[in-house]
Amino acid sequence: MENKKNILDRFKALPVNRYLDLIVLVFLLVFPLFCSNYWVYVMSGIIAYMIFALSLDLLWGYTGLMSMGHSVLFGAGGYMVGISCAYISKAGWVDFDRLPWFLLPLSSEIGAFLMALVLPALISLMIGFFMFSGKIKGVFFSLITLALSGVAELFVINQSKYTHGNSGISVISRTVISNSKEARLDDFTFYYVVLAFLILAYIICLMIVNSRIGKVLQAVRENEERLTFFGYKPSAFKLLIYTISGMIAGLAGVLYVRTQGNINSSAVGITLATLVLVWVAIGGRGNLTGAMVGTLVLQIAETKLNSVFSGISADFTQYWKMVLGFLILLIVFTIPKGIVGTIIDVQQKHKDRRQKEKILLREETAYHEESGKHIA
Amino acid sequence: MRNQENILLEVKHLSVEFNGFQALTDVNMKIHDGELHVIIGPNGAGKTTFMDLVTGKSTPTTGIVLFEGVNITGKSTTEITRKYHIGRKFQGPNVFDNMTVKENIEIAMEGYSSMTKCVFFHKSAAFKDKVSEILGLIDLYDYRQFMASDLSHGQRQWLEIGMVVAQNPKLIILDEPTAGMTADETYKTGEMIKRLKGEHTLIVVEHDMDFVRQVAEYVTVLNYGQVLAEGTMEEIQNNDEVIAVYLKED
Ligand SMILES: Nc1ncnc2c1ncn2[C@@H]1O[C@H](COP(=O)(O)OP(=O)(O)OP(=O)(O)O)[C@@H](O)[C@H]1O
Ligand SMILES: [Mg+2]
Repeated sequence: MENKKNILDRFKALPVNRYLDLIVLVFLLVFPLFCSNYWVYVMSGIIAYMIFALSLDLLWGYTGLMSMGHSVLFGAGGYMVGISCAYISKAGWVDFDRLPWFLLPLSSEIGAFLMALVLPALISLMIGFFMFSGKIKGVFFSLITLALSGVAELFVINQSKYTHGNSGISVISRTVISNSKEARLDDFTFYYVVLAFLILAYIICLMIVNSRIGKVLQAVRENEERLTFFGYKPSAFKLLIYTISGMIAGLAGVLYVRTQGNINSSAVGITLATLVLVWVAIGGRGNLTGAMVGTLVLQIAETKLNSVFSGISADFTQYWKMVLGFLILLIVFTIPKGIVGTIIDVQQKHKDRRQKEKILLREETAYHEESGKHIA
Repeated sequence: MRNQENILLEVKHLSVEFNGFQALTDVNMKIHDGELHVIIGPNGAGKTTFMDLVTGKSTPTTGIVLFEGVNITGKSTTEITRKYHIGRKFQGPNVFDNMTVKENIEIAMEGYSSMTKCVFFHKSAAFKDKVSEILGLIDLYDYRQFMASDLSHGQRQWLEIGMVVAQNPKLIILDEPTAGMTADETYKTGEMIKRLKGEHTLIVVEHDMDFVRQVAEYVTVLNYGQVLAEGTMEEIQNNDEVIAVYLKED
């Protein structure tokens, strides 16, 4: 009995957004039961994007590092799977017999999957090392990552020997690791595999942000210099989270590529890097929920509107993109903390105000009792 | 009590120049172990600059800073904090705004700032007790779940004092801890600081003379980046030069 109450209390103490997480989870769990195969496929891609958004939220929302080129890490993961798949299945355009030494793991399926996690982590470790030891901060960090994304796009197109340039690479879809056609799952099953990865990524992120490391990261975001006066080395913490974030982005890239069945240079490009920023900004930074909700809502809206408007006329797609862009700007200006961020904010302010009233009331009664005693 | 043996912090011939502007000129000062040393002086006298030099935020043009006899001039703030245990409260509350009061204290707690300590951190009962004790000391226990940004100005000052106490430094440096406080709050802060004496050595910069009289043992007066006078509160109050440049406004 005692125990039961305790658990109930702990549930009540959870911030509102954890309930939202639960709603999102239930929604995603039942979604395929009510939808066409096409939407199950679309949603698998969106879930992969949600993982991507989570990785950015760790970096931007929690640590305050606004990466404007996060797609580099997403695409790096995706391309590992792509190159491996092309090499193993000997795609028509492949005219190399052996992989360069640093891509050797790609000759095995498992190796490719691991490389898809390790390479993005290494890339962010390297970028992070140069930036953070060079004391590059704030808008400069953003601009450099943005430039890197542009460079990565060109790099991928230029290295057509391995990446098949502009045409991109076809990949066996609806598997996680295997490259054989027989191993392909149906849309329905694959959807739940991707969802399982989202849940895993979410739990990892939640554990990180609730740990002491997570609190230090938030302190970096709030006031990095102040932290050094408490004996911390902020750059070490930034490097750690950048690396973890890179790995999660790489995982998202793999899942997305495996959903789509192909990858091209846009996976590392500026457009995707900007999109993920928008999802996180609209949903709300620094609470994990916002990143997921933002991606979900905006991507569903985009897909829906796309089909509605392209049904009317091809030109219309241009217009609704403008409308959507305008709506996004409106949200950013009216609620800078994003949808979920604003909800949490209002709740916290409300809680603080109520607690303050309680404290003042208690102090007042204590004061009256005190003066009552004196009179008596 | 003030003798040669128990000097905790000593600065020798400290000068610093910012693009041609001489902010400090040949400052010599000794802070003794266990004392509460107040620094006063008009705006722009170089009080904050002095603290910047001691805590490694900036480096002196000439001169050295000795802490327990070790030359710490030019060392990083992280090292000075972690290895030499100097804690500092900034002028105007400088806390982590979008985090709760409790989280602010927890971040500051002594001994958990290295990466490994953070990774293997486990919130022990002793840790929680210590946090609660500090929340009690700064009278913010009931406010522990508040966002730091939702506190009043005075409470934010206390929060930062609490954070510095949580670091458990040998030397605590407080830059204008009562700025912007009501008379009641200022008095309460004075009592708080007096309670810290004995366990820590303190340097306090303050303008509020009532407050200085409440807490001070030993006072240094800075003016135009130079030491104008130093001595006990009584000596300072009767020093003609100090009265002329500083105390006359009262
Ligand atoms: N980094 C810097 N660059 C240029 N000038 C500086 C810098 N830091 C301080 N100064 C100058 O040095 C002088 C002393 O400043 P400081 O902040 O130490 O004064 P203070 O005694 O703390 O005054 P207050 O009572 O107003 O806090 C000021 O004139 C200030 O403009
Ligand atoms: Mg100052």
